[in-house]
Amino acid sequence: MSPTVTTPNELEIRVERLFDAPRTHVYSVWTDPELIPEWWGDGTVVEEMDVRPGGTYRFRTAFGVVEGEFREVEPPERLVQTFQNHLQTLEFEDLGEQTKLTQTMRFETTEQRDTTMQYGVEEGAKQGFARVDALLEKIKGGARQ
Amino acid sequence: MVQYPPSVDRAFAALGDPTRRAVLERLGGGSATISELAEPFGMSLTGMKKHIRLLEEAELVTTEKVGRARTCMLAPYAFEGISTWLQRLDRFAQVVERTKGAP
Repeated sequence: MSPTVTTPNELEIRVERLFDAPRTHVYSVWTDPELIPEWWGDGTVVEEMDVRPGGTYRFRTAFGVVEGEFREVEPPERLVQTFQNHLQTLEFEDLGEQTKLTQTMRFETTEQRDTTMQYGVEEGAKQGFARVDALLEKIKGGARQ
Repeated sequence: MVQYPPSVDRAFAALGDPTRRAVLERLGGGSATISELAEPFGMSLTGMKKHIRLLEEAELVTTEKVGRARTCMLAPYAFEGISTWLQRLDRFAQVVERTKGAP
C-alpha cells in the first residue's frame, strides 16, 4: 500500500496510492468536512468547504490558513482543486474491493515543482531537523559545485 | 549545476543556523511572540528580531503585529514538501480504514 511518487513531466508531481476500500467510500472521506481535521491534524478547523465547481475551502491549521477553490467535481471519480501555489487533480479509480488514488500536482514553474519535491521544512518544524540537515548537506554538495 | 530560485538560497541560509531551526521547531507547535521566542534562548529581543527577519526574508515565517507585540508563525504551507503530503495521505488512509462499513 505504499505510495509511488513520480515526476511525469517538468511541471508535475504524481502520487499514486491504493486503498482497501470501495471508491465511493474513499471519495466521500476526501470530501467530508467532518473528517478533514482527522487527517489534516494539528487542531484543524474547517471554516468553509463548498464541494462544487467554483466553491471554495478554507481550513485553519497549526500552520496557518490553507485555502483553495474546487474547479471540477465529479463524484466519485474526479476532483480538481487549487491548493496554495498549485493545481491538484485527484482521480479515484474503481478496482472493485480496492481504489487507486492518483494525485497530480501541477505547478506554474519547474522551480516551484522542484522546491516542493525537496522541501521538508514543515515536517522538520514538527519533528526536528535531523532529516532536513541531511537533505541540506546533500543539496549543498550537489548545487554549489 | 542546478539553479534554485533566490528564495531557496535564502531559506537554506536561514536554516543554516541552529537557533533559527529551533525557532521553526517551536513555531511548528503554534504561533508565538518575539519575546516568547527570545526567552528560552536567553536572547535579547533585538537578537531574536534579527533571526525572525531572516526567516521572514526566506519566506519561512510570517509575522503580524497584534497590539504591541509581534506574533510569529510558520509561513502557511509556502514550503510544503512532498513528504508532508505523503504523511497526510497516511493519515487519510487511517480514516478510510476506520470509517469503512460505517453508514
